[in-house]
Amino acid sequence: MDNILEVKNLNIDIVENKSTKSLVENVSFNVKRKGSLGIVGESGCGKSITAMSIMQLLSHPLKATKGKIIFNDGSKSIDMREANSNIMRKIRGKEISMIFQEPMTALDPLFTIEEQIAEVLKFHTDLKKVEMKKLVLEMLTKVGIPQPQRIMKNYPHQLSGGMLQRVVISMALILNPKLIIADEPTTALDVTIQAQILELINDLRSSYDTSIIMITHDLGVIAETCEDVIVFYAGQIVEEGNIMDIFHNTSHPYTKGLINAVRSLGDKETELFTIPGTVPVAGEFSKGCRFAERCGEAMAICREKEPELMEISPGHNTRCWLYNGGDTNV
Amino acid sequence: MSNPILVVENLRKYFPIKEGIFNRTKNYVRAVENVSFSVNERETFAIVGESGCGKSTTGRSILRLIEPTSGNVVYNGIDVLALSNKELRGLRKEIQIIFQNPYSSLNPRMTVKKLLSEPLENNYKLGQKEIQEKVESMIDKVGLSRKHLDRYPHQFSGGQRQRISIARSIITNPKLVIADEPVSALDVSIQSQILNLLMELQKELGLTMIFISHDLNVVRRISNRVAVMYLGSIAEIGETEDIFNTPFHPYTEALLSAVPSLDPMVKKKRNILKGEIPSPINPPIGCVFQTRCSKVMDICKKKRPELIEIDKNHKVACHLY
Ligand SMILES: Nc1ncnc2c1ncn2[C@@H]1O[C@H](COP(=O)(O)OP(=O)(O)OP(=O)(O)O)[C@@H](O)[C@H]1O
Ligand SMILES: Nc1ncnc2c1ncn2[C@@H]1O[C@H](COP(=O)(O)OP(=O)(O)OP(=O)(O)O)[C@@H](O)[C@H]1O
Ligand code: SF4
Ligand SMILES: [Mg+2]
Ligand SMILES: [Mg+2]
Repeated sequence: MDNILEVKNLNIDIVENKSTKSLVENVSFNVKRKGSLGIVGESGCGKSITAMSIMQLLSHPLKATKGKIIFNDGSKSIDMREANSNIMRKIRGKEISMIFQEPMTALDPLFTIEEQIAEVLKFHTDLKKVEMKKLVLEMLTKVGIPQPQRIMKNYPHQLSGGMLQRVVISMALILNPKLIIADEPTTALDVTIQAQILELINDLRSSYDTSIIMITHDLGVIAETCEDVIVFYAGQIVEEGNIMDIFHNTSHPYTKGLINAVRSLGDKETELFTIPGTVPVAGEFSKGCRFAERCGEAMAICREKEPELMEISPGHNTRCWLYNGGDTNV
Repeated sequence: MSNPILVVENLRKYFPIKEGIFNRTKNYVRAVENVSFSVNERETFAIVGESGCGKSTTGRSILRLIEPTSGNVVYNGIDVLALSNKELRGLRKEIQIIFQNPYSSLNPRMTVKKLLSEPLENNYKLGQKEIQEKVESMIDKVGLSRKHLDRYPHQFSGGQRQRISIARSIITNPKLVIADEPVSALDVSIQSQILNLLMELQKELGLTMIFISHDLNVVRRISNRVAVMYLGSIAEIGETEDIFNTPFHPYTEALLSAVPSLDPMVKKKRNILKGEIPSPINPPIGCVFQTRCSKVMDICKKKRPELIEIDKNHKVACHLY
């Protein structure tokens, strides 16, 4: 198998006030070995919970209710949804690691930076104390933390936002995992340090054959690090393909809207472009296309029937009636 | 235009480093060193610069969420550093901060409704109904749903939390907002929606904004003036278009060369800065940028350059000029 990860028909539900709503619906994608997959999409559309479900980190009231998450490290293949917590603990941090969107979710305010990074090493290796210290220091240097000797003795509140983000990146990279799930890894970093981190991630890929899932709002970061992209909207994949497909043959009106919003930043005269309206709340999707309310190209059928994810050219899929026979199908 | 609402003079923040068994202060992290600027009414004043250079510390010191070591902060004629705690609380009606990290700044035990109504209850004599109306209209404006009002912060996505934090800060119609990376977690369409909202408030209610951000495209688009910080000091300050069109300081030049292209397919060759970042504990004698500057001269290692005006409203701290 040449995929390190295969997610098939994943559903994530939320149980609230005795009713069940679906937050992520029927999501399937593959991450190629040594490959890099970018995930973009509207804020709140389900990117982070999809990532957490891969790591089996969802907790009540969120639950993955359907689907398979097959991780194949090259020699064996396991379905993460069926793995017990013992196996998962061994996999997390070592085989697959996650860079969390908000650094403080992964850090404990009561421990120093050194103690927290060393904890990962303690659990997965039997390195001696001095060796651990050396590794921690090396890793902090690689992510561009100035005076790592001093900073590793600090507590989280003594670090700036971007320094914390780099600490969390160090924790995720220190054991050279086979798959890295990076959830908004560079949002708190200035452009020069961002460039350095992306270079580091690209280096890891070529030296250790690491695969990456990169969740980000920054289309420039996607263009720089990813080969394939999936676009999420309201808990579904609405478009997927390689970066040329997504950026140069953009098909779905939502993806087009995102790209327009980026472009409009360059024009000081007009109001910034936004996609009109707001994303529907989970459990209240209308019967047609979930984007129809906000779509400038919506047709009659769009409000009636939900479009399927359809292949429009090899490897390039889109969930939109414009590419699917349109009104003639009603 | 030049009607400063806020004047910051020689602001310093040194964090003590305690060491040894007696916990003695041996040294200081000089996070903010002699920073001066003024912000005009209704303008957006941006602060940019390398991660860890002291932007958040500067923002927090203005409101005394961190007590500055020395300096002057004058808001609308009020000497902020001389205020008693009680007077300071009064001032926080007018000045609000949007924190860089909404995860730790939102009280996890409050629902969104409570988070948004609390600042109104504390500061204004409004009826329940008025409060509810304001809360609902604000939640719409930041692109969330009224259905979300009874949820707690942990039940949201990162970008949703960031919007709750923005809503909480602007719901009382403050005069000055210190926004620390307010849109970093938002997708571009919602980011635009929030930026349009802030610009609208500026037009309608005369909001003044200090905007701290790494996103130089956003900064260029929305700010009137920019300060570029490096290792605790201002390297360059001026009108936004002047800074972006004719950057003087070598650090500003390097920073701008790394701005990602608005076209995701154009891969730019970024100019990654080489050289050691000096320690904020023992900053070098002379210019703080000397260890990484491509144009470094002898004098740069001896004398700290002062921030001087070399073009209209455009100041730079560099011996080249
Ligand atoms: N514990 C929870 N309880 C209830 N709803 C939740 C919980 N956690 C997440 N959600 C909801 O699930 C949806 C998906 O959240 P997720 O964090 O995956 O979004 P996201 O795509 O990562 O967004 P962002 O770009 O803002 O980070 C959101 O609408 C959020 O409100
Ligand atoms: N409580 C503290 N104790 C000691 N040092 C601190 C403390 N808070 C901040 N610092 C240090 O002060 C410096 C400036 O931090 P600050 O948070 O202001 O940076 P920033 O410019 O906002 O960076 P970023 O862009 O990464 O958010 C950093 O070196 C940081 O480690
Ligand atoms: S299916 Fe219709 S409404 Fe949905 S995105 Fe396509 S054109 Fe727009
Ligand atoms: Mg997220
Ligand atoms: Mg900061």
